[in-house]
Amino acid sequence: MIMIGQQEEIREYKNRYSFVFSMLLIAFFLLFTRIWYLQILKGKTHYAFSQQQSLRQEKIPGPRGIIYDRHGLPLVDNIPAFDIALIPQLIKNKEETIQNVSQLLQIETETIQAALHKARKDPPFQPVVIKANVSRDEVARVESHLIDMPALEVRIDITRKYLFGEIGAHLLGMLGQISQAELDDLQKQTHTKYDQFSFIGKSGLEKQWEDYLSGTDGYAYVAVDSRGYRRQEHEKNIFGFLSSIEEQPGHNLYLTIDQDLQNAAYEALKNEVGSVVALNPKTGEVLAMISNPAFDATIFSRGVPPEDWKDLVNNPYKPLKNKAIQDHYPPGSTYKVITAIAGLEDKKITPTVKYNCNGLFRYMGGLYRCWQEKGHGLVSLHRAIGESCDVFFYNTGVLTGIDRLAHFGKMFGLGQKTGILLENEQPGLAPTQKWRAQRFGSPWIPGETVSNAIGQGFNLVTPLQLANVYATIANGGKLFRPYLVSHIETPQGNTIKEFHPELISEIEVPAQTVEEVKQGLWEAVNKPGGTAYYRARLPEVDVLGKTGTSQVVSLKEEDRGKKCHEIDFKFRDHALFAAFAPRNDSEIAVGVVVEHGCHGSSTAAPIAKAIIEAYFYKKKILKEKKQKKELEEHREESEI
Amino acid sequence: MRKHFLSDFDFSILFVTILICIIGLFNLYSATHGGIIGAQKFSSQLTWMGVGFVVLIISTLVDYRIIERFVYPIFGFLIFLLILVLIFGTVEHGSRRWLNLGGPRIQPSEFMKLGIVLCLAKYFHEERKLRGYGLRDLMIPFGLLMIPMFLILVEPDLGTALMIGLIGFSMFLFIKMKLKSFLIIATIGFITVPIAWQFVLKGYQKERVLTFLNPERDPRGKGFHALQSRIAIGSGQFLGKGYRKGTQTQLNFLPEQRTDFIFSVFAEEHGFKGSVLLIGLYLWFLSLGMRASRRAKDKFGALLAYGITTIFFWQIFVNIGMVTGLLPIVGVTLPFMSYGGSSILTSLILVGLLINISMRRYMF
Repeated sequence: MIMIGQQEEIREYKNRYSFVFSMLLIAFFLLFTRIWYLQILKGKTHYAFSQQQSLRQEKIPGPRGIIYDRHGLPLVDNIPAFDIALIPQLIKNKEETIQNVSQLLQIETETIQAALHKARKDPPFQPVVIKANVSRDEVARVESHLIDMPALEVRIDITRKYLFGEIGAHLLGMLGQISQAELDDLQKQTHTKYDQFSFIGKSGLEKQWEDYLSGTDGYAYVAVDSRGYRRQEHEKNIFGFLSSIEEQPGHNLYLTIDQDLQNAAYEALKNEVGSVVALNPKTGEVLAMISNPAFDATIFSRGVPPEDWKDLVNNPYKPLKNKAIQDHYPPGSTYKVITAIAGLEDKKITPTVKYNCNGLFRYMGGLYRCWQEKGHGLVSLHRAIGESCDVFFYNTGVLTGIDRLAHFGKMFGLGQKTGILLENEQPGLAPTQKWRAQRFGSPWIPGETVSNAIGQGFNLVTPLQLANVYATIANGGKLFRPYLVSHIETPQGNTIKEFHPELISEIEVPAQTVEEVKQGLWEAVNKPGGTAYYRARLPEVDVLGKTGTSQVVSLKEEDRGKKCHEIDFKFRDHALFAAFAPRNDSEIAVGVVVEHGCHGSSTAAPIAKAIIEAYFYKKKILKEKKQKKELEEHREESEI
Repeated sequence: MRKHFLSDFDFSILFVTILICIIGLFNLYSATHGGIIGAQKFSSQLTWMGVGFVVLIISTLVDYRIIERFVYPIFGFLIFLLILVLIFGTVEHGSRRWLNLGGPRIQPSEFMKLGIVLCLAKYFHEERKLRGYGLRDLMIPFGLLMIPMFLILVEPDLGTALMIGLIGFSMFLFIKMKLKSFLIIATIGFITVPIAWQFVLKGYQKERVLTFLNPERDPRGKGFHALQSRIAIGSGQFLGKGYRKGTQTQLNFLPEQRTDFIFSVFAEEHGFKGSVLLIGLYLWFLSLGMRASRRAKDKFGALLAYGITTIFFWQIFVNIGMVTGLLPIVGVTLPFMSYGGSSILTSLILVGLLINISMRRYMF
C-alpha cells in the first residue's frame, strides 16, 4: 500500500524538524531580544516618555459648506456654539467647585455631579460638558471667573444655523448624528472623513449634497502627559515636531431658489397645511418650495432634544414631510387641462363645440354632478375651463377614454417622478386600464373614467408635478426636469459643478391646441365669472391659472348640505391652484396644494397670487435699481 | 477508535490553548477599560471561545484522513468564493474582501490560509519524489499557491496575500527540494520584489512600508501608532505598570487596542516578565504543533500539522513583530488574544485539527 513508501519519506522528514525547530527558536529569540531591548534596555526612557508627554490628537471640525440662494444670499451658515465644560483633573475641591459652578450657571448641583459621574472612566484631561449651547452672556460670565475656577472651560463648537428659521426647512433639510449603518456605508467609500461623532445631512439638500457640503476635520497635535496635563509650549518635546492637519471647509451650494419668493410663499401659506412650488418655466429652475407645517432645523444641528423630536414625529400634520414632493393628492379640476388637450388632440372636441350643462351628467347608469348645482348652460372649451364646468369634461373624458387621458398626462410628466434631486419623491399616479388590472385584478369600470376626467378617482399629483405641468403648458410644451442647485463652489470660490436646464421631452402638441387651453386659463383668472377672477387677478400682469378642489372622501350623509368649514377638518376637501404668468414668454409657474383647504379659489388661489405678485414686484424693484445705477453711471461719465 | 479517544487525546495542546485564552480574556477586559463596555466585550469574547471549543472538539472527531479525500473540492470551493468576492464582495477601505451572506459576513481569504495548507499537503502527499522535487515538479504546486495569492492581491489585501505566501513558502521549504531548484526560486524572489514594489503596490501600501522603515517620518498616521505601541511596550519595563494601570492603554494613546495591538496592552501592564511568559507559552504551543507533525504516521498528516503550525507561527511572529516595531503594520491579529469572533473561531478549529492529527498517531 501507499503507506510503505510513506514511512520512508516521513523518515526523510525527521531531520528537517531539527532545522525547522531551530528556525523557530531563532525567530523567537529575535522577538525576545526586541522586547528586552524595548523594555529593559530602553525601558526607562520609554517609561519617562509615557509619563511625561505624549502626542494627543485633537479634532478641529471642518465647517460645512454654506448654502446660498440665487442672488447669493446665505440661507444656512455656521455659527459658533458655546458649551461650558469642567476638566476633572483641574478640580481641586470638588464640593466647592460644584457649588460655585452651580451658582454661576444656574444649574442644579445634581446635574453637574451626574455629568462628572458619567465621565469618571474617561481620561481626566477630557472636558466634561455640563451645560451646552449657552448664551454669550453666560460665556462672558464664565470667562470672568476663569481665574478663580481653572477647571472651567468654554468650548467652541460649530453649529448649523438656518438663517430663515422654518422657511424652506424641508428643502434645506437637517443634520443629525451619524448612525452606525450610515457610518459603515460611508466608510466603504471614504477613509477618514467620518467618525461616530460626525453629524451628517439627514434630509433635504443637506443629505442630497452631503459629499460636497461636508467639511474634512483637521487635527492638532497637543502634547499632554499621562495624567492628561497639557505640556507647555516651551517644554522640550521628544518628538521634535508638532505638525497639524488643517481642517477643510466643505463646498458652497448656490441654489436656484429666490429667498424673497420663499418668504412670500411662507407668509401666504403660514396658517395652512400644504405646500407651494414655483418654477421658472423656461428652465425648470425651482424658485420656491415651501411645505407647512415646518420645523426649525437649527435646534437639531447639535443633536435633537428627544421631546422636540417626539412632537414632530407625532404631529398629525406631518411637519417632517416635504409635502411638495413626498405627498401626492388628487389634482381635482387642475387636471382638466389634460382632459382638454386629450380631447382636442384626439379630435373628440373642437374649441367651439358646446355641451349643455344642467348640473347633472348621466353615464352607464351613474349620476355625476357638476359643482355648480344649477348648471352652466351651453358651454364651450374656454368657458368650461374658465368656470370649471365638470359636465363639459365628463363628456370629453368619456369620449377620449382613460388610456388616452393617461397618455397625455404622462406627456406632461404625470405619473412619474420629475427627477428632482431630492430624496423620497413620489411618482403620483396616472391610471390606465392596465394599471387597474394589475393593481386590483379587475377590469376598468367605464364610469370611473368620468370622475378621473376631472382629476378625481385614481389620479394623484405631487405639488411639484402640478407646477411642472403648468410650466410645460406655459412654455408651449417643453417638459423640463426641475432642479434646485445652480452651481457648487469650492471654499476658494472656484466653480466645480454647474447645472443647466435639462429638457426631458418636447411635447408634440400643436401650438394652436396649447393656445386654446391658455385662453381658458386666462378666462379663469381675468374674465368675470372665472373661478379665480376675484382671487388671483393682478393689475400689471396677465395671470393664467386653474382652480381645483379635490374630494378627500365621499361626503357622509350627515355632512351633506353643510358648508365645508363646518365639517371635520380631516374630511374637508383639498384646495389646489396652478398658475403661470405672464401669458406669453412666461417667467413663473406656481403649484399650490392646501390640505383640507376647502376651495381652490378661496384658499389656494390667493397664495399663488401672493407669490406671483412678489415675483413681479421684485423684478420691478431690481429693474428700477438697475436703471438708477445706469443713470448714475451715465451722469458720472458726463461729469468727467 | 472510541476507546482510544481519551487516552490518545493530546491534552497538552488543549491546555496551552486554554491558558492563553484565559490570559487573553482578562487582558481584553483591561484593553476595553473595564466598566460596562469591558464586561460586554469580555462576555462576547467568552461566548465565542465557548462556541470555539465546541467546534474544536467536533473537528477532532472526524478522522483527518477522511478530510483528506475532500481537500481538492474544498480548495476549489474556496477559489470559487474568492472569485465571488471579486464580483459581489463589499468594498471597505477601498478593498473588496468580504462576502455578505445576509447574516454573517465571511472573509474567504482568511479560510484560504488553511485551504492552501490542505491543498499543498495533499499534493505533496500524493506526488512523491524520493530524490527530491525539481523545478518542473514544483510548477503545479507553485501554481496552486499563486492562484489564491493573485486573487487576494487583486482585492487588494496585501497583508493576507503575504501571509499565504509565507505559509506556502514554509511548506515548500519543508519538502525535499533539489538544491538547484531552491537557488533558482530564491533568485526569482529577489528579482520580483523590486518589480512588485514598482508596479503592484498601491500608494498607501508603499507609504506603510516607508513609515515602517522610519516611524518618525509621519507622527500622525501609522508611524504615530507604531511609536505609541513601542512606548507602551517599553514603558512596561521589567515589572509592568500593573493590571489595568497601563497609561498608554487606559488613556487611549494606543491604537486598535482590542485587536492588532493587544500585545502592547499586555506588555505595558505586565512588563518583561509577562511578555516572556506569554511568548514562552506561544513557543510551547508551536513546539507541540511540531511534535504533532513529527509523530504523524502519514505524510499528509505530517504536512498538515506542520502547515497549521506555520499558520500560527506567522500570525504570532508578524503580529508581535509589528507591534514591537520589527515589521511593518499590516493588520494581523494575535491568536487567542485579539478580540473578534472569527479570529477566535478559526484559531480554535486549527487547534482542533492539530489535536486530530496528534491523537491518531497510533492508528496504523
